[in-house]
Amino acid sequence: MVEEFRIGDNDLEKLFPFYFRMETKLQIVKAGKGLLKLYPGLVGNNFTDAFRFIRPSFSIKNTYDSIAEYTNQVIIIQLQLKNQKLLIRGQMLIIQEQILFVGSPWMAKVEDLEKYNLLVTDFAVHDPVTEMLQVLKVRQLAFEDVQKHHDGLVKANKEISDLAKFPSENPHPILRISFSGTIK
Amino acid sequence: MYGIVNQAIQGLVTEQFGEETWQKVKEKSKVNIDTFFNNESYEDKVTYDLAGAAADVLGIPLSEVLIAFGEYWVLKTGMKNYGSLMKSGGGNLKEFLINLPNFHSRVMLIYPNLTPPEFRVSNVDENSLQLHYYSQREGLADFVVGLLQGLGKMFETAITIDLIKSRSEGFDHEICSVHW
Ligand code: HEM
Repeated sequence: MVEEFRIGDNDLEKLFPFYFRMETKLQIVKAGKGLLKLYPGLVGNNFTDAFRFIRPSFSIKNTYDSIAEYTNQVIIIQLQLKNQKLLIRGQMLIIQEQILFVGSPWMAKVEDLEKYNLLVTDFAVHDPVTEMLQVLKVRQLAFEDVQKHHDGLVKANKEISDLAKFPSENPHPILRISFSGTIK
Repeated sequence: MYGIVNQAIQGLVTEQFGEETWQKVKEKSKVNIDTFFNNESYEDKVTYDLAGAAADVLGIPLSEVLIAFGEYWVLKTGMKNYGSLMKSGGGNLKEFLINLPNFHSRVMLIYPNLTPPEFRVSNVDENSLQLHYYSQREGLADFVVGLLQGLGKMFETAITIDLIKSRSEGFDHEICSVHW
């Protein structure tokens, strides 16, 4: 027997605080609290005004039918608030003639959390995004170390090649003489 | 583009034509950078200048450089640096191409500031499909052809690629018809 399993908006919001769903004219009917924190007046707005497609961007259109063709692709959308251009990465799904979007903010560095006024508690417990940002930070620091080392080597190399020119550019030979007077 | 792209041009020229030729290419390109770092972003101009200089120094058309570069990217750069990522893209050529639209979304986890290409597949048949390529960058259609040839070799599948639409003739994106 196939058992039908349903999940309500309250639970959906716990798993995906940045989810929203919209009807066939792309009017947003419900949204998770993470998203509402960033965009309090979102519900009732049209997707077309609230978001912009970043990925895919060329081939997708702001229509129900077009979006429905992309349910097997990673979707990145951008909030269209004056001072809030956060990217959200996720997936669309058609359920009972509505489009459901679930996803999570997509940031390039850990400092962005502060910039977008996001706290770890705004994310779902299972969401690895904040940990990933820490990993990126560690990598960035390691990269800075390597770059410092590299710049030091370039400088040292230059000094060596300058010194190497010394004998050829100096008409007088260089002698090192010990205290006892013998030439070394 | 990220340094890994410029590293790959350097690798291609050095492995196939020697270190001296690479030094000539670098000089000709007027790119004054000693070491490319894999995950540092460079202006696109650096990449275009290197590719153009390679064509000049080797005395071959730019399109040939881009095709060779595409093959090298898949068979050497991709397989060497990200072999598991490449292999997880699909079990055969057809699967890989169908997954291609999502591929750079995964790459964006490694290179967060990526400006990735956008792909779409249509007309999928038993032995062919059409690959749509959309990009903010100009002039890389031949690179895509080279990449596809590289994928054919990676999956040991003989393929033919026809560029049936392109921006250079006024269309808004490129379409490659791929048969295998
Ligand atoms: C492990 C494998 C791969 C990695 C790590 C990778 C990574 C990258 C990177 C770093 C760029 C430069 C973009 C930027 O820095 O903003 C790029 C561009 C590009 N990649 Fe990949 N890529 C991979 C495989 C592929 C494959 C298999 C294809 C296609 C068949 C492909 C097609 C392209 C194209 C066409 C561009 C040019 C970008 C444009 O048109 O704007 N790549 N990729």
